[in-house]
Amino acid sequence: MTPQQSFEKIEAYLNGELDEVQLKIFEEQMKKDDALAAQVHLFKNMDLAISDKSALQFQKLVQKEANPFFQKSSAPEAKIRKLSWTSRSWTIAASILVLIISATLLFQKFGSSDPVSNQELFAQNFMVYDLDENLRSSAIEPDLFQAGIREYQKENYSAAIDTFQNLQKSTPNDMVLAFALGNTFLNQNPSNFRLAQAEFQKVIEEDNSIYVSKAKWYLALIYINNGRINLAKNLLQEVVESGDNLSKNAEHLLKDLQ
Amino acid sequence: MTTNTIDNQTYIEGIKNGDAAVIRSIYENYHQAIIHLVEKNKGNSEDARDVFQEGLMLLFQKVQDPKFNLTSSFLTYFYAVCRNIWSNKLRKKSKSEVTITDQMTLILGEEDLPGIEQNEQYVLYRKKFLQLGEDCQKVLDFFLQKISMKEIMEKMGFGSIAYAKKRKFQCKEQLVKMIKQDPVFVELMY
Repeated sequence: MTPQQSFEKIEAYLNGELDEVQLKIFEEQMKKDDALAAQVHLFKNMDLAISDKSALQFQKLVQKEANPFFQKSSAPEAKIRKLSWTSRSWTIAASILVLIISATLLFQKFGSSDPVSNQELFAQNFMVYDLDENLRSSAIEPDLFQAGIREYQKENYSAAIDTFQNLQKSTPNDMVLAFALGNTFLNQNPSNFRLAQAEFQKVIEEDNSIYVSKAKWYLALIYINNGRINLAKNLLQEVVESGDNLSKNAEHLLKDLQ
Repeated sequence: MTTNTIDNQTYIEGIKNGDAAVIRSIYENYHQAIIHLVEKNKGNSEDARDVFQEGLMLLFQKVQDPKFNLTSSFLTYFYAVCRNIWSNKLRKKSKSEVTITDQMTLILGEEDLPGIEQNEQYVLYRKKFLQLGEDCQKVLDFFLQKISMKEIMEKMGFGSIAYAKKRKFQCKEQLVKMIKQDPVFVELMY
């Protein structure tokens, strides 16, 4: 079961959507699996906490109003108070200089984009591509390819990469394989953006597979993560024009980038 | 009405109605007392902030009950609430009974404040939810309102129901991860 399916099963249980048989099985599983029972408990209480709109709004207000009254720690402040005016002014000047240098370096690295929001934008839009066992290519050895896909589905990304890269030695120009490998690199923790980018670029340049638009979508996300917004926009525009089922997502993301 | 009663009433109504000026006034008038309570008993300013906020959230729940009646001063009551919250946190950290050092006469025993643990959990979950991106908050909120995935897809401008489900899962996964990474959550498991 994928993590998404596991979450959806818990949600179905909590929403009373399981039939009698499924419910019995699930409750038996919870009795035997403490981690599952804990997850159900967490989901139930999370939902209760978050769905209380008035409490949520009140908490937002309470958090906001706290800021002027609570500092990080009283101990360092006491030390600063004891510094002479001259020492303190040098400390403040040095802090400002460090901030200016850091801001300049960040600006140079990421252009006019805020690096934190680029990565957040990536995270908000990234979805794990569902490689499934129906994925086929006439050129690739099917059993090995399916084995790689199963590893991917179980999130054993290193094992999936080994399998796909072995297959790539004999079929270097297979674009289904390149697309699968690109996604696997992207899902590693941490993501291997450089290698994922190379695979997606291959798929796009060959331009002869049904995965071209999807490769453009993922490559656009990689560009966004790396702050290369104009390149991302160009690709997203192409995805929009392709009519692919990701075209609405691309349109939505392009609006966010404007 | 005495000044004390007017102040109490203002505070209680202000908490009930989410009045920003009243909340600010509570912080202004009482933050030092709570910082002192916590820092004198093995805590720091961050702990004091958490205790203060959990205290306010616990009070928010209590004042919704029409039978709630404040018979002491607001400070005395609020201090007692925060004291119990901090005592509970310290007990979990040390896994044994603790004695709080302070000058205040106790007006509340722990049996007077059920729900401290649940309040701590819920404050954590809401805190992390509010740290999610706006889109994630919307998606999860729509899902909790039992809006169909098709409607969520349309409201959010997603391309497909499958993508809407995927986004919902990703947002929830992110929320769960943030909750589990918080030191407070680890404590709650014991």
